[in-house]
Amino acid sequence: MPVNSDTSFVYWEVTDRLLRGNIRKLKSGSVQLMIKVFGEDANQEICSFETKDKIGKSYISYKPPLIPLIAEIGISNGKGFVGLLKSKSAYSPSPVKGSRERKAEVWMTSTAEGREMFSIPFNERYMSGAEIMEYYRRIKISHAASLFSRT
Amino acid sequence: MIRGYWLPVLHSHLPFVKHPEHEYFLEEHWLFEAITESYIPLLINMKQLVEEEIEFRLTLSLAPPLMEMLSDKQLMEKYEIYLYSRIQLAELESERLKKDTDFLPLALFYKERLNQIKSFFTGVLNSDILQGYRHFRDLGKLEVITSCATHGFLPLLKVNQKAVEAQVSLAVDSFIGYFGGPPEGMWLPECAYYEGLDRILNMYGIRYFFLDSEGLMSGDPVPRYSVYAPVYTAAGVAAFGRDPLSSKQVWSTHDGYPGDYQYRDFYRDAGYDLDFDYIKPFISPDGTRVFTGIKYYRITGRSDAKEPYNLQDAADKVIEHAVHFHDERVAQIKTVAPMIDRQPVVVSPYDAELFGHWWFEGPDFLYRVFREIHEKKEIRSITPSEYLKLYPENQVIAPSPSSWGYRGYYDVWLNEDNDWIYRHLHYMADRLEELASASVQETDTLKIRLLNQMTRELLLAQSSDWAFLMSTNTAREYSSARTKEHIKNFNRLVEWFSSGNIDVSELEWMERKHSIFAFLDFRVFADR
Repeated sequence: MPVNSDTSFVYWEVTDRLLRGNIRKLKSGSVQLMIKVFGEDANQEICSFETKDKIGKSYISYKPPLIPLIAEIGISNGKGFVGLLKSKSAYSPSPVKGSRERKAEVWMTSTAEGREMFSIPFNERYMSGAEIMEYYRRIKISHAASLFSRT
Repeated sequence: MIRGYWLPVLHSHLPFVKHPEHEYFLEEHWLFEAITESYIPLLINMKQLVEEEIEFRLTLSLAPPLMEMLSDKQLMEKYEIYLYSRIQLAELESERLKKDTDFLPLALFYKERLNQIKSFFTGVLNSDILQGYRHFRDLGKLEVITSCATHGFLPLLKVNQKAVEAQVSLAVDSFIGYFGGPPEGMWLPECAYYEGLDRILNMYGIRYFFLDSEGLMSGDPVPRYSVYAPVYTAAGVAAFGRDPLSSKQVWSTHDGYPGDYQYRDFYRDAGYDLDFDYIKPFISPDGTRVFTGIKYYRITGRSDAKEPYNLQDAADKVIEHAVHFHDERVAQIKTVAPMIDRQPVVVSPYDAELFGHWWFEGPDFLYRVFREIHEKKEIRSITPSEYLKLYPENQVIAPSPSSWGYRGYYDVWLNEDNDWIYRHLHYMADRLEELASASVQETDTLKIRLLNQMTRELLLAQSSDWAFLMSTNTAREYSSARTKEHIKNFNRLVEWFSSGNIDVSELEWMERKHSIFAFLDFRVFADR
């Protein structure tokens, strides 16, 4: 579950029955529960940690630019890993602003008659949202600072 | 000439609190205080605006638990008892303070005001607050919208999509029941958005919702018109972004208007200040001192030393602040208007309970702002539907996951203080989906009642208020107890359903106590 732009939360509960059935798949060594976190698309491991708790939780620090994350719980003997369960994917809020490229924009007309989407080229005549904010910075109208307090 | 628009939104919500097992229950007073200090004063001021032919538009979201409580016969009977008790206290105070030049005007003010509220409630509204909202809606002054069924924090419930769909669809059904037609818009609890939520909103006919400015400004692409025009999501639902400037002027603890030293102090209350034996009939029967709403002091400063509240000084300050707020909006709109191809809109959402309950002078401030707008004619107030009709063409962006909580993310609703609830909420939703899907054709009345009550217990446990209160250390004990009670009830119901060994009298009690959504059908959780 996403918490903020650099923290995700994972919780788990594993029954003894599930563990017993899978431990024998790892042929040797002492077996430990392990949590792994992956980026869903890249299938790239972001972090992993061992735990003794069959019922547990953890906050994971990672700055994902809207990459869906997936957590997997499994057992490991230091050499091999057997996955038991995967979480659903979670998107975290992104600290990275969206594209500011001066490219064509998608617009939509929505009326009682229906919706129509269309593309328009970037129009220099108008300021973009980012430029409006920059304009505010320059003219410093009263209280304007609060507009940017979190950006 | 009109240069742009101001779009004020008041979000009205309280968690569903009903305790038929007690004659007096402190947390039920959240509702009673909000009715007395916010909902009725706001309606009285709207009536005055109409009588004075002052043009205004206000958008008001009514969360379904609030609508359910305002329509609950038992709670409304208790409210009348509460109100009479407050009037009785004000009368006693007028007598006690008859030689006190500092405080007598205030005691008389409370006596008159509480009697006015009583006659408005029983007379004008016929003891039905929702009737007041319907009236102004029919006049075209008020756009009433809904919020989620039990104000669930959707980004943290979406582990089970049915849980999100149920929060949205039951909200729409509830709104239709109270207002005779579907809502145009929805207030997302805590302004909390996640990627893909727009598709669910669209599925249930929601045309617009509100986002914190961060949700819009971190969107992809960054919207061309910042927060000064709505955007569409890919699903075609409009998103209005909260304006940070006008928000801060009202919300900020230190810089906001409500903290002005002339305004009434919230915390100094007769319930805590007066002699115990005298105030005893008006506080908790167990002797715990509570707020009575009779408050005699102004904020004065940051120290504990408080000076008497002066009605005239506060009224003067309200006018000063309303003029300032209006002029700031005009300046803001004048700055932005030349840069964009339309008249900008400044969206200012607040909790309705801020106006009157927390900020005593808030309803009068709002009245004065509308008067300023009407008299100066430089900007106009507008509703989201009106603005979208005026400007149906808008940019399409993908908003960023966000909320209006601390730092704009989800921290307040998911942290060390409250994270324990989510494993239960997710398990309950999965279990209910499983049982509901297997019982779509169920005809046994008792089993249907069990499934319906399971749905109610889950929905009530999902209320974002519990996680919030656990975080802020306010009513932490009550919010934890409520969450645990719903989890326990749910598990008992599942056990009865599976074993067939049903405690009918206990089921009846749960149905009576947690009576939200009489129309509810558990199949809302079925995978059909």
